[in-house]
Amino acid sequence: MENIILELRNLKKYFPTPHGVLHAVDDISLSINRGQTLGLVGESGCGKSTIGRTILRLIEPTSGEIYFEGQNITDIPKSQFKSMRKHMQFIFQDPYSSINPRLTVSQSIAEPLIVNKLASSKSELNELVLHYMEMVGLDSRLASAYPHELDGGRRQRIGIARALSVEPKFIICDEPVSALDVSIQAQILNLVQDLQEQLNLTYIFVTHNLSVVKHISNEIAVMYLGQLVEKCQAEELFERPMHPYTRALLSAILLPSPKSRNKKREILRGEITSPINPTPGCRFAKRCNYATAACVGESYELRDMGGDHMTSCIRVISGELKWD
Amino acid sequence: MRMKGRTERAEGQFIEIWRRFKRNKAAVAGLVVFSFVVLMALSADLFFNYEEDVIRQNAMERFQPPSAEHLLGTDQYGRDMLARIVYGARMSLLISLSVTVMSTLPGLVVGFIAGYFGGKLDSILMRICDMFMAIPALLMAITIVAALGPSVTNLIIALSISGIPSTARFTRSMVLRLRGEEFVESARAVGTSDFRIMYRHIFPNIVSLTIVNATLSLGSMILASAGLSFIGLGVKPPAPEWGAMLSNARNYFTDHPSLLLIPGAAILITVLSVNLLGDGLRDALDPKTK
Repeated sequence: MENIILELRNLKKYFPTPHGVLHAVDDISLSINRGQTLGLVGESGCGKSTIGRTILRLIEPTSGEIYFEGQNITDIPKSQFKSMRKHMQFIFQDPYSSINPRLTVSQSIAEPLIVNKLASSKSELNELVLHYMEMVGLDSRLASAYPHELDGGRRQRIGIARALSVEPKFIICDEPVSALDVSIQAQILNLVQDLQEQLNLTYIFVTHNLSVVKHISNEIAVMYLGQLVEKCQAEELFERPMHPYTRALLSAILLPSPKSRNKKREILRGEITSPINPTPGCRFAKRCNYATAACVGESYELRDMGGDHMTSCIRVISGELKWD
Repeated sequence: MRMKGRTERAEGQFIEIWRRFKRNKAAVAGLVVFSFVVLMALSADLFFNYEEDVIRQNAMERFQPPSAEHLLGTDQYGRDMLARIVYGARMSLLISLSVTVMSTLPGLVVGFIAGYFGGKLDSILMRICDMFMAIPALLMAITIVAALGPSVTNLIIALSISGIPSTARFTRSMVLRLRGEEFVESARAVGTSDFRIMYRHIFPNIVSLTIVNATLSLGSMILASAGLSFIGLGVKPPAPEWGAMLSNARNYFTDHPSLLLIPGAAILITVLSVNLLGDGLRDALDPKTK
């Protein structure tokens, strides 16, 4: 399909640790259409940030392929990868540590332009910096301010301006609002959405917060311990969640409503199991309220349950487990 | 317009640092005394004639007490003590400043390479540093000077080499910490080269600590050069050097203690002022101390 901008095929990233091999990303395949947003959801440590960093080759994948606009970019030697970084960018989670404290706002935004030689003269550079500052809603009087003088929202706008300045087609947003005050989160989310419309950007939006992705995603993929457990259209996920893990995540969303007081919740038992040397079978089985003997021992792949709604729960696939 | 804004900010930063520095009275005293020593060393030629006052021996004027003609008296060869102290300051500062520069710059380079690239290169460089650090710095300097022969140049080389490992280790630890920071990853994500990351993103974050470290090592280098000259491995007589002056005065200590006390005081005051200055700089350059 021509419309596919990015495709991951059997992507794996293993980290060797003293206790065994950590399967951070384990056999993930997915694709994203141009101009769309894929929400990538999962709890801390499930490997969602690792996927983002692997796509940009900030860390090298263990195996699998990444295709960008039909080109296999896992083959490109690291030294020549720089040209790809103009097409793909990254917005970081923590605007306090992802901005160099010794550079002013304008210096920070000018860096990508200088490094990629996108301005031919000093005046053009200044113009571009001011252009991107305006685009992300930073007042031009802040050009010579240092990051420690700004709040988290403004700092995150610097990060967004930096990412935009190379005119990418595709941006990985790694929990861009989770470090911000709730009052500022909505502003940044709106900005990210407006920019997508203006510039026809494609996003992977990584988050642990389902209510955040609901608003901005076309598709949502749910991850658990390095694997995808469910993937479908955003509305579909909220209306008909299939995997027990997804259902537990959804029921954990707090609604400020007196009615929700009596709502039945899916409470998860136990702790997240270790991603080091995982045993075959459903990785969620140890915490699942619906697990049976069939869930362990054998690994299952995502299966399309109709309408591009994929799940890996064997009990749902076999029809044993039905939700009403 | 924007450039103007930027320089104003940079000035603002210096004013801020100066404001914090000023509050530490001991550091200001250190700065004043050290500036005086530097000024003295620079203007030595205005007050004294090197050949006439410092080198030429005058048997008629041995062991003179302080007088209008000789403010600090004369030594065992009838040379003016003040002139020798002033020219000694020139020698001490020349040695300690060159040693500080010559041990800090290579130390920075080694530390950056080891800390930034890591892996085998880091292990090899750090094991070499460990080997050097296993020998006490002064002892190693003595060995190097003994091998090369005593002279000012060899003294500088010896002390520089012995100072490199600690600077390298210090730099490496700072680079290692900063390399893991997200803003470095963010720089890599926009395609910044390793070299540019090092000088544009990491170096500005460690430059203040490096300056403080260099200032503090300046003090110990003054001591080390005096120490080596004291045992005859540094500046050769008749050139004036504080450590050598101390050494020569030992024989006359009971009758003429001032010959020993004056260079001793010069060393003490200079080292103390440099250390106070370094301490003050450390506090002033740390933006967390408001």
